[in-house]
This record gives sequence, structure tokens and C-alpha cells, in this order.
Amino acid sequence: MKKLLVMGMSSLFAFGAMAQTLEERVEALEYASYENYTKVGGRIEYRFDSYAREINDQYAVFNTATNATDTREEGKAAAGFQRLFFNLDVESRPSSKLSFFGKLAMAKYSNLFNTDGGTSPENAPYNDLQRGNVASSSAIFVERAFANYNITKDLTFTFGRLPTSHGAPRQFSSNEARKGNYPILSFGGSWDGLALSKSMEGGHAVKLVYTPVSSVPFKTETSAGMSDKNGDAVDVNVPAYALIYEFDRAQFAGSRNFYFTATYFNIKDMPTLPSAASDLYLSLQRTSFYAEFSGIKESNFDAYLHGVSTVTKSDGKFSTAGGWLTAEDSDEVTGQAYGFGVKYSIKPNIKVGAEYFYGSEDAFLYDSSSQDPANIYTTWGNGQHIFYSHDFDGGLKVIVGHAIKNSKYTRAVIAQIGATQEIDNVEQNTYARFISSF
Amino acid sequence: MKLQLIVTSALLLGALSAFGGAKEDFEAAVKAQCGGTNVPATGGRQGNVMKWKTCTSSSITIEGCTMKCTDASSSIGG
Repeated sequence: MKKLLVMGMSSLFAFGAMAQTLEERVEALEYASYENYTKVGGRIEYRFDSYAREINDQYAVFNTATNATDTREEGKAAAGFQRLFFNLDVESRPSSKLSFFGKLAMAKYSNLFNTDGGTSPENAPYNDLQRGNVASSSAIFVERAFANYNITKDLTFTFGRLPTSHGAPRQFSSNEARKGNYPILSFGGSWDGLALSKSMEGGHAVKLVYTPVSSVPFKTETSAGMSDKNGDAVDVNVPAYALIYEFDRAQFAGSRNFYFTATYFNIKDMPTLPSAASDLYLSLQRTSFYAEFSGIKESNFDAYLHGVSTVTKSDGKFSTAGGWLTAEDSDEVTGQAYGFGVKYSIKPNIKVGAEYFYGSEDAFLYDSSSQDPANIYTTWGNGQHIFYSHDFDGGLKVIVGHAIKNSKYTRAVIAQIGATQEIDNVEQNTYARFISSF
Repeated sequence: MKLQLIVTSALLLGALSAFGGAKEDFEAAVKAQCGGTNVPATGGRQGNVMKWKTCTSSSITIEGCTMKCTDASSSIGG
């Protein structure tokens, strides 16, 4: 009887202890869920490129160091690259009204042993073995950092470094989720700014994006501001606007998932490197669209179409080179570009595809965040690209591909400033990419 | 003891509701994209909800249904 009483009391204490533990455990779980409103993820890529360029007609390029024109001679050249890309992504939803997204980025050659210019310790020969360890700078590259604040359920205010790089159709051949909803033909790089978004029933959304361009007098011109070669003062900030329409819906237009976006971008009188050598101003309008069809007629085919029409107005000249897409002091030109791609899923994890792009002589094209040595989306001429993507079980993706870029037109400065020159360049690139997202 | 049970149950419900958002998103995606195919919202790290929530390819096929993957950091306005 005594034994039974002791056992009973022990069981009671044991149960009490367990109940206490369970309560504490649930409480800890609850607080942990409150604390984990920030998620960290990322992506790492090792990439091999074998690039070759054939110049069939010589042309002029402007050398900004000597302020003179050099000749790019006819001939063939080839190079192989190995590069490493890394992103660290942060997503945070501290309240029901606020969300934040950030992306830190690293892009480098594999073990770069020659000097990459500059005089800091980080730029010395063999610098790549010491980066991040030798006192030099606090540099971390931020590709994206933006906050969305929901003013109402359907109206959102956004500010920061916006998700305008690596836009569509970049994700199509990478076989990844869309990295930026703002296609390369509307924004081709990382833009800072503010935006107001209105989402509507049925998958429609309208966005107004403000991305001012700055020309800051870093040296001695703080009070006076910068001036161009005529001595005219240059505005520190020049506004740029984009009006965006998006439509995203499942089971629409004969496809499992349909996505469409159209963008009108406008910038007026943007100074171009204002200095004693430049009084060049750019006014640009780009009207673009991107449409993507996934799972066409419930098949294994995906496809996309995109296009842009550009109106480029140029005033003044950059040094002796000329204006934007012209050799004239004042000019306005229009251009178009379009492209399409098709992808087929052999298995859910194995995809093959092809892309085509065409750019007219006077199209205003740029894709500053591109990692492709032969980037077909900035071709004045035509480009083709074939690819094969394989997702291995557990999180490794391998993509191999080949791109051909046939350029028919260029200009002396960044291919877009100066007199239009007819060229015959053929660039080819074969690549292999190893990607893991985590 | 009764109070402890009520408190524990409430906390458990609270913890479960934190998972509710992901599950509801998954069920909405299945309804919109799977054309009537029923894909269960199974829990756990290897379950269907987290498979879809963490996918980074353009799409993922779960139990015969192909669904679009999204990158939360890709869109102005959330």
C-alpha cells in the first residue's frame, strides 16, 4: 500500500513535470515563430565560359583615357573565363503592413591573380587571396534593398534599391523563378527609387515608379554644382518615371500560368558625364512588353515574347564622339527590338530551349547587370541561344548552353554614343553553370 | 490543471496558425493552377507545402501538378 502511494505520487510529479515541459515547449515554439519574421537564403553559382569574337569589318572605338579614337581591327580572338557569383537574400515581414527584401551580391573571377587597377591594398597583385581580410574598405555590394509598405490592402508604397536587375527573360533559360518583374527591355540594371503600386481583382496591377538620376559634384563644385562644357549648370537630380501594368493569372490564354507586363519609361534631359568635354543630354522613351506562357495547352512547352520601341532624343555632344545614337548635335531617332523563346520539359527537372533576339539599328538597348559574355538581349542585329537545364535531386542545377550574337551596328562609345557604324561582328559563347539555391 | 490545459491549447493553436499562411497560400495555388487535381497540403520540412514554398526553379511538379515558383524579392509592391 505504501509502495502504491509512492508510485502514485511519483507518477503525479512526473506528469506535472511533463505538463510543465510541454507548456514551456509550446511557449518557446510560439515565441520562436514570432521571432522568425526574417528569413535568410541565397544562391551560389560557378560558371565556365568559352568566348570567341570574330571582327570581319574594322570599326572605331573611343578611348576615354586618351580622348581619342582607336581602331578595332579585323581578326579573331578567344578567351575562357571561370567566375563565381554569390547572393545572400534577406526577407523580413516585421508587421502585416511592412515587408523588406535585400540581396547582397558578389561577382568575381576565380582567383584573380593580376592587379585589377587602383592603388589600395585590395587592388594589389594576388589581391584575391586577401579580400575581406586586409584593411581597405567596408565594401559590400547591395543589388537590392527595398521596403514595401501597405498603405491599404491594395495600395503599396515602395522605396529603396528596386528589383529591376536580372529581369525577364533572364530567368527563362536559367529555369528559375522570375528574379525581377521588370523586363530587360524596360529596365536593364539596378535602379534606386520610389514606387506606388495598386493591385486589383483578377491579377491586375498598376505601378508608378520614380527613379531619379543623379549627377553629383564630388570635388570642388559643391556650392556651384556641376556644369557642362558650355558652362551651363546641370541639375543634380533628373527625374525618370515608369508606368507599369502587370497581369498574372493561372489558367489563362491557353496556358497553365500566364504573365504579361507593359512598361512606359521616360527620362528627359539626362546629362551625360557633364564636364569640359561634354554637353550631351538624353531624352529617352521606351515602351516595352513581356508575355510569358507556361504549360501551353497543358503541354510541356513554355514560351515568351518581348519587344520594345524606343525614341531617343539627343542634344549636344560627348567629346568629339557625338550624341546618343547619332553623330549630330541634335537628333531624334526611333528603334525597335523584339525576341522570343521556347522551352520544353523532357522531365519535370530537365528542360531544353532556344531563344532569338533582333535589334534594329537605332534601338536604345542596355543590360548592365548581364553576366553573359555574348548577351543576345543587347544585339543590334540578331542573336540566338540554345540551352539545357538539369535540376538534380536535392538542390543542384546544371545549365549548359551556346549563344551566337551577330552585331551589325555599333557606335564608338558604349556602342550607343557617336555615329552609327556598320559592322560585322560574330560573338559565340559556350557555357556551363553550376547553381545551388539555399 | 484545467487552466493549464486551456493555456496550452491556446498556445498550440497560436503556433499552428503561424503555419496557416503558408498552407493557405499552397491550397490557393493548387486550386488556381492544378486544374481540379487534389494535392494534399502535407506538413513538415519535406512536405508538399514547404516543397512549393522553397522551390527556386521556374516551376515544381508535386503529385502530378505543376505549379509556378515565385521569388518574393522580385516584385515592387510585394
